[in-house]
Amino acid sequence: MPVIPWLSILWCLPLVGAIVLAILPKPAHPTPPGVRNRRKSLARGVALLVSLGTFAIAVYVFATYERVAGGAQFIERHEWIPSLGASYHLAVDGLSLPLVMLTALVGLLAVASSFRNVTAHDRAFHAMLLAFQAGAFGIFLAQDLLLFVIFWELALLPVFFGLGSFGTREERVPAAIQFAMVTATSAAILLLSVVGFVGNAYRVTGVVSFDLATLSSGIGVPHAAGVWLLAALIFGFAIRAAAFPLHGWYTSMLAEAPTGVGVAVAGLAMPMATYGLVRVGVALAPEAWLSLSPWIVGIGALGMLYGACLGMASQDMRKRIAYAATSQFGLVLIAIAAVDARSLEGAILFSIHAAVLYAALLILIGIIVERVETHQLGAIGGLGREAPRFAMLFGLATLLLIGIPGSGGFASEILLFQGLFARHPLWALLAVFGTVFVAAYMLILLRAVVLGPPTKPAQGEGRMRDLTMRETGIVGLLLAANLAIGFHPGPIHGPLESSMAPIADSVQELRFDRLDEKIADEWEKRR
Amino acid sequence: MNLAWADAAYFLPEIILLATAAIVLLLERPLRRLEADVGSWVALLGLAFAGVAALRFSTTGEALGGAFVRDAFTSTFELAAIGVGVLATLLGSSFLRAVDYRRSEFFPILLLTLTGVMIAAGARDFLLLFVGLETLALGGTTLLGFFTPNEKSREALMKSFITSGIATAFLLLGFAFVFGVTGTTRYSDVAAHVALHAGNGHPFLELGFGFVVISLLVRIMAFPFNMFASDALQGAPGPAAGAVAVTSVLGGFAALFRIFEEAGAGSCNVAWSTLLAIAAGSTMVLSSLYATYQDNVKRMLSYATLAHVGFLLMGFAVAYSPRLAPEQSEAVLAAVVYYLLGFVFLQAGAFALVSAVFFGRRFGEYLAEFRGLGRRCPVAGIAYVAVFMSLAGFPPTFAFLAKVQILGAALQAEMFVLIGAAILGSLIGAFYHLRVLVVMYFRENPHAPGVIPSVPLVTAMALVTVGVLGVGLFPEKALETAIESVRVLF
Repeated sequence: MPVIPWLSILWCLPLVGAIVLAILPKPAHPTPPGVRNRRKSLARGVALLVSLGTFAIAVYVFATYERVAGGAQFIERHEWIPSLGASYHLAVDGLSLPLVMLTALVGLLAVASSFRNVTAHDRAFHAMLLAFQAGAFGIFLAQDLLLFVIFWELALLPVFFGLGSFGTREERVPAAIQFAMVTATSAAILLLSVVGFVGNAYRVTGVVSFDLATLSSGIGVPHAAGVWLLAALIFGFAIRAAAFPLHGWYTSMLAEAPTGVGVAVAGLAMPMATYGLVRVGVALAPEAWLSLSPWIVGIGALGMLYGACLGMASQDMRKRIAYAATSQFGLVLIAIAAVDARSLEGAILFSIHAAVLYAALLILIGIIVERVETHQLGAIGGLGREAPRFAMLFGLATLLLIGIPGSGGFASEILLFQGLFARHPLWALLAVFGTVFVAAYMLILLRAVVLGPPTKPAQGEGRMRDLTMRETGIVGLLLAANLAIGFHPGPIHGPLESSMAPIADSVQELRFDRLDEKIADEWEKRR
Repeated sequence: MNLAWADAAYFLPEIILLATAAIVLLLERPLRRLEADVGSWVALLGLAFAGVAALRFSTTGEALGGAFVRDAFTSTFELAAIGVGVLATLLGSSFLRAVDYRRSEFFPILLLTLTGVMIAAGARDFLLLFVGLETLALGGTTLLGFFTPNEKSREALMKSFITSGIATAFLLLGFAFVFGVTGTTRYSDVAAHVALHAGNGHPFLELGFGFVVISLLVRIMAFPFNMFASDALQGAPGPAAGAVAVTSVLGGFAALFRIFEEAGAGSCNVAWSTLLAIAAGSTMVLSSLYATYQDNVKRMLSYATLAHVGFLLMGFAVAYSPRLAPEQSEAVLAAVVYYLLGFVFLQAGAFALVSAVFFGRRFGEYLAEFRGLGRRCPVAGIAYVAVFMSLAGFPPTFAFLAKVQILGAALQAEMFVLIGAAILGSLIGAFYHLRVLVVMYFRENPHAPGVIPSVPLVTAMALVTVGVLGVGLFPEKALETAIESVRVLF
């Protein structure tokens, strides 16, 4: 029986969908820009169908993954560029499993949430969303570094076009250019680093190979070179998650992007970077990682603090979410730097939890922007009476992001702090601040938007209509996903733990070796 | 050097191209009044035959007593030249029709230029190389000035003619020095001389090679010999500019390959790696910087061409680094050949863009004139996105893989400054190409000017997109061709 290449289908389906959308015939009566389109649109139907299909395949993969066996499954491997040692190699393991599911969910909801607010050129818009999703799937599935880098960059151009063509304001064009330049820099540096690691492996083994498993199988990297290469790698990944001090592009992007694009990017940026750091960074150069980890913690802590300050000061609702991401990625960085199995697991879970909530909050803020045409904090307030469903979901999303018990954040923070306290209690103390700040800037946002006396903006519809059933469903689904991580993390937790343990163990062994050497040195000196 | 009938089998593609050129010239007069563009069709047919001949029917081996060799390297460059020919013929036909300048001489001159590339690629004797490069240069110069009604085009011709004359002078001077020291013009004999005196080479021999390299740097338009290039390419009609840029680079690099590997220049006691690295680094960075503040897209694209040349030259500089093992050098040179193969599509695509917007009298050249083009002419938009992605080194274009190889080797050779220059250059490159994309996609034009979606133009653009992406996605065949063609040199 021929094996069905589920993973190839998973990333190709959105891409094919994007191509189909691009060549769909123009609608006979295109909606003029600025007019809300209430007519049924073929492009939207196709896009929704494709992303539903993709979601179904992701669910299938998620459900049939053999949790007892663990390890890489659904493996597909074909020759691709033998002369460069690159192969077409896809697989799912405990680390990529939850992220694949997240990509499917975010992709589906990004399409669903922009059902109404993109009017002209909706074919192109949905094609962009689907192409981005294809790239994101590829990132989480690729087991070959060349393939990984290709997917990493495939997930870039659609956002550029989506942002530049469909942004709401005139500032969208500088934001798009900034986005493209920053991510192109990240991609170039990432590529350089990957090429450096491959070259080093060639020097040691005499074989050119981009295979992730081969490269991370303990090929020694000379220390100085390893540190530089790893620093480049971390730089490349961290930019993508808007790490301090390179977060400017992310803020302007979220402020200008149409909801669908914002949801897709914010819903996947941090998980992508976290995944990259764990899968490629820690695995390729564990020794260099240990040497760099104090620096990573430093950057993480600074980012946490700085992002939180900016978040508290920001008067733009969408920018506040962007700063939240910068701040919370600092926490993730500290957790990854510690390289304990639990802290790594916590970091991955935390990034998923946070991404889901950023997506939900952006959809909700997008609805405010769409209905009352303001994104300024204080221009609208007291929505609790006027739009109770909106207020409820907004409040719930805020509380979940703060990490109340039962949220995905709570579950992941427990793991994260367990790991941190076990390895570096001091870092853990530092990280605690991150979880406190978020309460500050998010509760200010909640108070301004939902609580208090009703404030009305000068322009727009004037009255804030409550959420429709569709909108309630979309946001509800995201919040439910978050609660599911919090209440029933089992299906994710087990596989994740089993694939994090070997990575963490190898690094910890190195760490103990170093400590042993240090003690031995000290012993020598004392004698 | 006696021309025997038996040698004809080695020159089959060249002979076919020359014959086609003659036929088109003869047909030009009688068929001028016809509506159909017969010249371009005949030229395409001839190019197709030449391609088949290059792939299948030519004999491999030495001709003219060893002055010309047909091997994998020659065939690769012949195929690349034929590729340029096909694209330039399509674009030229579209251009001539648009401006209603019905002169089919464009095609014979183009075919002659291509023959020049082919001869330069197979030459193993300085005299034959001279013939090849001169054919290439004169043909190219004529193409640049082909559209005589345009003042800029005449200026381009003049500039190119003078520069090319200087390059020729350097070339001859170099030959004279090399001949003076070694007493021969045959590559293999020169190489034997170099090997014999390894370690204490004659300074005049090194000087001679230096002059030859300078002349070739002018041909490939590398810094500091690139002043003329942007003016000449800007003034010329779009299709001619693309064709001349690519053929000149192809011919120059082919000669560089053979002279470095077969005439022993590479083993001379000269710090080639450093010298070429300086040329490469400054070409990449400076041309990118110049390109950022051009409002004329054609001029910007000429600088972009130079940025590519800089990257190609970087591969060369890395390959001759003493830190690399011979098999690594070979791999880098193969990457350069691979890049050249993709470059053919790339430049044609870039210059096709400036033939896409036509205002009845002249073609759109300024940035503002491309507003909304991406939506009005999706093929042009997609072709340009492919071009943009290649320059910035994005996958899945061919440039990405070449970049992977060349950067990897440069890291091994520890040429960090050069790497920095390459990354800086490609990021600046990403920026100025983004400007065009922004105009094409994010700005609307209220009074949309005419786009000429002529069949040849659209075909050429589609070929470009397929070429740039296809060679990038399924690179194995092209990589193998490149590796094989470099292997025969070692």
